[in-house]
Amino acid sequence: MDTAQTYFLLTILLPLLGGMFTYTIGGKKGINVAVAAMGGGFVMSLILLLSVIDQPWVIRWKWVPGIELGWNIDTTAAVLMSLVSFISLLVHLFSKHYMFGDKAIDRYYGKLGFFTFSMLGLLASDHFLLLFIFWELVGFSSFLLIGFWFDDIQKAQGARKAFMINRVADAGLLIGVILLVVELDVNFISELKEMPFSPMLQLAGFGLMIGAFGKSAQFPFFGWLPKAMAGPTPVSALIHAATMVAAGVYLLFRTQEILTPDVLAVTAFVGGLTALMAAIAALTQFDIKKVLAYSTISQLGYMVMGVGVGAYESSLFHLWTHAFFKAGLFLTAGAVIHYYHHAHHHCHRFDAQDMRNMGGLRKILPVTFIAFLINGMALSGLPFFSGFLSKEGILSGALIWAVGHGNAVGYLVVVMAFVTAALTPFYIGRQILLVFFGESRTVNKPVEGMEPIFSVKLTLLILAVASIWIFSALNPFDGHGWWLGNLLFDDHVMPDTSHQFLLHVTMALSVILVISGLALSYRKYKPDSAVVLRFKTKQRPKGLLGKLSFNAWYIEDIYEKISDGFLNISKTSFQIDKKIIDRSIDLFGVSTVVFAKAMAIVDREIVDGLVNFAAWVSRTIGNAYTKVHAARVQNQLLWLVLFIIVIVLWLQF
Amino acid sequence: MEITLTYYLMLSAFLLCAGLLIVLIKKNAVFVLLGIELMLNAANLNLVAFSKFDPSLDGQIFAIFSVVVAAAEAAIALAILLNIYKTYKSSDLDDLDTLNY
Repeated sequence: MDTAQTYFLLTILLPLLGGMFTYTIGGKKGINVAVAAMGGGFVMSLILLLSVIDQPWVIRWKWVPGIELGWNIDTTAAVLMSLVSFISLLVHLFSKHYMFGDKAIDRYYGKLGFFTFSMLGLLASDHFLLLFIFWELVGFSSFLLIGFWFDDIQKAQGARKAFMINRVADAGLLIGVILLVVELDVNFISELKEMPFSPMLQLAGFGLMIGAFGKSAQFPFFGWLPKAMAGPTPVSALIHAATMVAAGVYLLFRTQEILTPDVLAVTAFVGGLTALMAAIAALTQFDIKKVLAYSTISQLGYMVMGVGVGAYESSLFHLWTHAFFKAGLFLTAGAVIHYYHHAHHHCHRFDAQDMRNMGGLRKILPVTFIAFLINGMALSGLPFFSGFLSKEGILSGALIWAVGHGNAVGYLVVVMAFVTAALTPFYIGRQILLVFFGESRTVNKPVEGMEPIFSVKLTLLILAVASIWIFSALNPFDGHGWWLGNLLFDDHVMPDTSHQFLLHVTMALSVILVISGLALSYRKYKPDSAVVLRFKTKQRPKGLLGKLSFNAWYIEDIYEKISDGFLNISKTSFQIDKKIIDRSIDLFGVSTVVFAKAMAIVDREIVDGLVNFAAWVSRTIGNAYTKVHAARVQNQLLWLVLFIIVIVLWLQF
Repeated sequence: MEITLTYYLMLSAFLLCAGLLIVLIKKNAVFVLLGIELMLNAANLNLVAFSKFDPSLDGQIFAIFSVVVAAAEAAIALAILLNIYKTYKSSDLDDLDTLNY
């Protein structure tokens, strides 16, 4: 076993073993083991990264005859693995505080370790089949985590819905994988190269795309991500911000060589559409986590669009920066929810996640406020924050792509992307204003001294600091200056100078859009504005656009309609089954029984009768004969002797 | 007076008739067995008697065989009889009518 293999196995197995250990011994004592194992896993992932910088580490082994599986750890995989390990470590740390006192905290850590293992395995898989296995494991472990509080029927249902929607999209991935492996004989992701166009390739590409859309919550599958908010908030940070949802983008990024232009165009369009739809949906949500969920979908739309328009680097860059600031936002939201939960635990039917109840937290939770502010600014794409850099790359990539193709759909994608860029600062500004500014809108008095413990503050601050531009690129205005870019991409080239003009346009436009978005949100949601004051009465948005946004384009209802449709189909077929098929089967059964009865009579009366008759004949003869054959031995002997005498005499004369 | 073959044959015929009579009229199985022995011995007497007027000894050897077989037959017959008595609590031949029904 070479060293890289050891590091790799330790990286993926330590979180799993730590989690399993905690779950096995139970109670609260094992938690530190899980956290320590996760820390070890993170260190190992860094060592692994260092050991594969020069040369990717590839291993293949025979699984069943004819199928060879394999891992491939190149720098991209290693960087993302260390990212996942890092976020997972922070979530482990944060959860110690957040989940404190939960009865099943050991189970929680077990599931967390299981999820981390699955995600790391997914990143390292080289064979499509292995990728699919880990893809499903990730889906399943996320289902376990979302449904962690399964006592609550709504949360359990949410987990089920999220899982089911994922499964529908996974069917697409399965089709794609089967087509690739069986029809096109493409097995290893690391050995992909451009192939001549064929309808099969096109179909496989669309399959992969649908699978990626499912995991990355793209239209029309994005409904599962808000459902997934039923899980504990740190889980939302881990799964639904940083890791699992990035799997789709990662898959598209890895398979970019074999995606046909049609697939890429659809990907770009759906990515842009999802970004816009989700951003609009985020505008009117009141649940603090739902806003973040829709913003995640929107940002994932950016990444998917980036892959579609050929800005792979920027997509991966955005995945990287987004993982930090969105995990930060979710964890700070978790801290806020935790605060409200504990400050109002005596208050019945209090919704600790409703932003209409919040306000004025700036003074009560200062550290949380700062962390949220920095991460929020990174999300909105303000210059000097990491989000600006990566989003810049995607936007300019989209613009260059559209100009290069010059068709209407391309420009539509660009327009959607830029509108989203304006909406993002608006909704995140609204959230910051509603949660942290103004006065508390609850009837209860604010509780002082509820600032979380040190390890939580540290976690939040680490994530906040990582969202400042200097940790991603030296130049705060260079969207292609990611210092990991040189490491990850062999052909890391600057966009050629002919596009310099477009780059400047993008930058100017996006800065203007961000600032105007923030300004608009301040104008509308500033403390004591009419809109904010109205929240005390718990009003829901009115008007067509408001309703459309609040209900997230009625995507849930559409799912409901679809599943109702399936339900109706199955009900109808049930009726057909019961009324027609069952009837005819019953008829057949009854006629068989009647026939059998008739056969039984024939059997009893004729066949048995013959046998009985033979027996009767034998018995009668036997009885008659016994009468003759009396038990008088001596009589018989006498007769014998007499007959002998008679015969002797007869012969004599 | 010279004892001729006729005397032997007459004695043997008497013994045979006596045995047959016992076999036919006695109810008790033991007596029936005795009668059978008597008849066997009548036959033996015949064999020995004929042998006396014959230069070869075949008849006498045959008689010895017959005696041995008779002994074995008597042993087996008595064993059967004992079992019959155990089963039916009787040695009367007329009681042994199970097979008749």
